[in-house]
Amino acid sequence: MSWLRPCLGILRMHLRNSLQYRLAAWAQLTTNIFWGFVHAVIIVVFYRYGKQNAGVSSGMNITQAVSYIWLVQIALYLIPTFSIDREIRNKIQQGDVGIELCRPLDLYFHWFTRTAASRFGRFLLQVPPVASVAMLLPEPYRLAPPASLLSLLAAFCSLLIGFLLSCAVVGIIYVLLMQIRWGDGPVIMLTVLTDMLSGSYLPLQLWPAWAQRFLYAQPFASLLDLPLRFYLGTLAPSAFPGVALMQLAWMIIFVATGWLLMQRSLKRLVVQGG
Amino acid sequence: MSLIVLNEICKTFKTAERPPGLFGAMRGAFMRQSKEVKALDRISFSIEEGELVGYIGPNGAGKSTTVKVMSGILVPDSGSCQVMGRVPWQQRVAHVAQIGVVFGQRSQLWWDVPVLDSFELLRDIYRISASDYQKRLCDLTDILDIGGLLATPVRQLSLGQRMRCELVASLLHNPRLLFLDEPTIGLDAVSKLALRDFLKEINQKHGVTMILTTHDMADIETLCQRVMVIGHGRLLYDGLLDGLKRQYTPERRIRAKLAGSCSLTELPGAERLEMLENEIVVYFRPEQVQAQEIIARLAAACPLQDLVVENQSVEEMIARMYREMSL
Repeated sequence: MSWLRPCLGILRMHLRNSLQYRLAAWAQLTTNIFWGFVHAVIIVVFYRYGKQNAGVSSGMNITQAVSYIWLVQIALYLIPTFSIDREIRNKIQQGDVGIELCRPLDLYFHWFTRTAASRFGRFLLQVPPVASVAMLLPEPYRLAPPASLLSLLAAFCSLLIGFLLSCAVVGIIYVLLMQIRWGDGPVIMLTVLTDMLSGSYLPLQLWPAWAQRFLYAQPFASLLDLPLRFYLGTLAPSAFPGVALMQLAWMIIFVATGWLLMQRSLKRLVVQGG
Repeated sequence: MSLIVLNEICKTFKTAERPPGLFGAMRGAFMRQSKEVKALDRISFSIEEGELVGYIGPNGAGKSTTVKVMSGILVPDSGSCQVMGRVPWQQRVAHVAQIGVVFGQRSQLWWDVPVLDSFELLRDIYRISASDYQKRLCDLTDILDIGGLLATPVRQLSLGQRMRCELVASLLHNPRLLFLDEPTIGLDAVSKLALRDFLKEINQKHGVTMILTTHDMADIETLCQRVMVIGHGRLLYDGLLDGLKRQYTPERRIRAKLAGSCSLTELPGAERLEMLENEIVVYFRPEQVQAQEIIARLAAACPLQDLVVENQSVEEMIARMYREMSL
């Protein structure tokens, strides 16, 4: 278990680091609560004033849809598809990759751990306030309790795999960033794509029915949408083994791809500047 | 076997070129021209355990590239390199566990947290045992006198303080080999002296092999006996600093203030003369003519008020050497 010590060390460092900027934490907290609320209002308006059968055909009722919005705001700390570790990004752009390579760690797993650690740190800090505000709001704007205890457990485990998968997705983004001549273009495209397809803008179940089968199977649903379905009860806990297996498969594919790409790009890496 | 052996290492970089200006940018979008730059051109040398080697050369000569190859960050195009019996870029993880690096222009400490937190993370990353860590931390903080800084976030340290912390960070895991890339850049005189003393001590007492790249010739003069000079990717000199000095500082000069008027155009034994307002500068070579003689001749020819004999500084010598090697 020789890798465990560095991992725990990195995790500890990030927990300390996230405690460093309290004002930034408060700012992000308020933004998230405000954003979640606006989003919830939009959903309520659509459900109330849209066609009468709007919710029925999608298999998601108004309570579930609003809860989904809040869960996204909470889980985004764990799976922020939109944000990559600022520190690693700076390192790549300023050529500090050189120093990172002077550490006796595999660079891919080093960064994987760092990403995971920094997200976990923020998640721990921000979940309680966001969750409690969301639960205390009046109907129909509030976050409903989980469908059942088993649902909660399934959602939690599935989210954990989604969390690791999201770190693997970001791992590929880091490798893309290392190809500095490409600039930010490919990265931005990939981020928008993951945001759409992970359901962080709109629950995937509210998309047209003909797209559902594709949306369910594509890798980014495993990040966020599928774990949240367990919580809401739109997926039964009995479906967990199958979903978890699919999530794990995607995770292995992404980790393997990222690792191989990283090895390839390290061979051709040029650290510029003195 | 030597600690470091480089044999015929070559590395070529491609740099994209496009004509400047808007028109150039438009043309560049369709036609890419690239130029090949030979950063390292058949570099070979070997370094023994315990040596402290100065590695100098003008900007862009290939110093950092060599250090990157030796630390396993950069894969060369051809040639072989063995450091502590390993090929750095092939067994990178095992290799870097035994080296330390200090980059004067980059930081390996975490910006936002106290220095001690960074040290503890390095302890975990390098898997240093608790007792070893305590002992080394105590030793190093003692010598460098940074005990009072450990609780301060890095962003609040001055450059000199930060540099001392960087040194501790690079030595915590007890590396056999330390690469120092312009460690004294931007430091004030006191910090520079402290840093040099420290490096000397670590090198002599603990036998850590060091390779020092710098533009500060005083660093080289106080620390290194052996110097390597690189220019345009080629190794131009590898040997003792004294040898380099002998080769490139043959001239000495006498700067004399005149008490009265004097019109001197030639002085036997002197290389050349320079007449200033009320000053005369005489250049001579000590191996050809004794200082005593030349001063006597000068005093006989002119009324002198004051007189100084100057040696060329190492800075001047290096500048001259770069010029002569047409770097």
